[in-house]
Amino acid sequence: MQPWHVYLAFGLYVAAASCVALLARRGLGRGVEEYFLANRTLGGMVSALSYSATTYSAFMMVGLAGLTYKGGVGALGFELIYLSGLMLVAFFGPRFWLAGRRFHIVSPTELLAVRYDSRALGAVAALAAAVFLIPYSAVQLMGIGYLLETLTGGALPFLAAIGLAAAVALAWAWMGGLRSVAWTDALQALLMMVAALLVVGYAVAELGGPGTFTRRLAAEWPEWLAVPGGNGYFRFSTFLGLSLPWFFFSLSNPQVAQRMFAPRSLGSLRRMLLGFLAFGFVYTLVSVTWGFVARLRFPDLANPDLATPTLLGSGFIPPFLALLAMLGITAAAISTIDSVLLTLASMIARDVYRGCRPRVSEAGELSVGKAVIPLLTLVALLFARLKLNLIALLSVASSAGLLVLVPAIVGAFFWKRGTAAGALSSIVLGGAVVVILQFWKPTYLGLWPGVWGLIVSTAAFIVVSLATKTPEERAREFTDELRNELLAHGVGRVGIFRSPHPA
Amino acid sequence: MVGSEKWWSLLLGLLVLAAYIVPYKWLGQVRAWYGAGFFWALFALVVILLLVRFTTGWKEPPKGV
Repeated sequence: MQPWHVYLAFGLYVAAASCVALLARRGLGRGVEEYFLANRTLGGMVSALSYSATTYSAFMMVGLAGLTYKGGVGALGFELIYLSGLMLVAFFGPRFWLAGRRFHIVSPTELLAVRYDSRALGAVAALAAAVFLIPYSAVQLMGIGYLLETLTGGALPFLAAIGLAAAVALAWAWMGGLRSVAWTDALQALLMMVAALLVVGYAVAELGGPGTFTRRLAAEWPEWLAVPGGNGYFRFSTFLGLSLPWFFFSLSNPQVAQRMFAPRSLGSLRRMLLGFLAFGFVYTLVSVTWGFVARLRFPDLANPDLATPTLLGSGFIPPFLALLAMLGITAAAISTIDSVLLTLASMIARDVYRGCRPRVSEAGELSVGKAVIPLLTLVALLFARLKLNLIALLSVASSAGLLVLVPAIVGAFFWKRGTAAGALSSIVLGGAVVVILQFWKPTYLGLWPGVWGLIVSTAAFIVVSLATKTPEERAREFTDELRNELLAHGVGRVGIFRSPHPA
Repeated sequence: MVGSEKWWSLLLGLLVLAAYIVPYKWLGQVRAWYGAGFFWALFALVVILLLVRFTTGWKEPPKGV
């Protein structure tokens, strides 16, 4: 592949998405809710595509394909268990959406601050999220850097590639807030899907079509079609350690949890959920198939993470399709980075800055939020430039680390006895356990750090909450009063066998 | 939980448990396309269809509610 092919393709992609971002910016009004939540007016289809592009990063066509290459079909199970975790949006989505409108909540960490009546809790939760999400963004940048550097044969060096990607993510997040992020995400989601379908479809056809493909897999790599899979990689403890944090991803990761505030109606929220499920199901199957293609075509790779770069750079895939796949993977990474940047900016402005200075004006808070976006981008860029093992480790720990927010979020709506001290100790203790184990002993007593983090944070939340006094008024507003609103919106009306269920 | 939510959460929770137990308990030796991978794909499809039904009733309340 010639470097100018990559430059041209990347330039066209950036130009097209920038036009979309500029058009979206024309609808931008004033205020914090407008900037960070598109004034809670997003339609269902844009929400679904944007949610898809935000959730699915370069991990899918690179990391998940690599996991499939390494261990086989267990990768499909773990990713589909993640997808089934979207059932949490069916239960928590209407609650987030209603509470967000009622209390003008902008971020998931602000939801904790309001429910438990503690600004300190919101600030600590926001900072804890930043500790894990900035390295996560840095690793996405590093992925783009390695991919573009490899595909241009070094003509576009790593540093220039990550600088370009960071500048693009910054511009799209900054210029129109969630409006430009959501619309560019929607375009990028389509690009991701079309590129993945075309390139994997071509590869399977080249290997003899679906029938021959599956027969060859069963004949040549039978272990890879079962669990624990190739080389016994997907042992049950590994499978549980990987899938459990991901099952709770839709609640624990602020950049996607925040999207439950943004749809214009519960109908739009429903379309977001169902649209994402359809996208995710197809994208998961395609990404796993890609990993199996690599297993059949290049069985002797020393490093499974090289499965995708090897397939794209080998000549097995025609240059045009390889270029399209490169764009799809780049789009997946950038659409995740800009959403993370925007969400972190909203949390730092609302939960940290306003948490410390409650009398600040809305304009002041928004200015801080907009100023923080370039700063966060710079930090992520510096982290990516350092290529430190520590960054990769924190990124790996991000899904496990953010899991410690889950007990407090569940308690916010379903346990009146939950208190700010309980939530705070749950996040701090659970987070500390995840970080310590990740560095010290990635599997302790056969369990992964995320599982330990969830156990410790849940125990701390319950024990400390029972020993401290709950903010009764707020607890009632988030449970009893919300219950009436939920019923009025038709939540829980449809029974499993009967419709509608008696209210 | 409101209305039928508790029954739905029970059903969906059991399905998630099955997604962990069935492939590891009974499908570990099935080295073919109709083994664990097929089970997980079916599991995800069933969850999606159940969520379509579960969220069918979501609506905007009449004005004033």
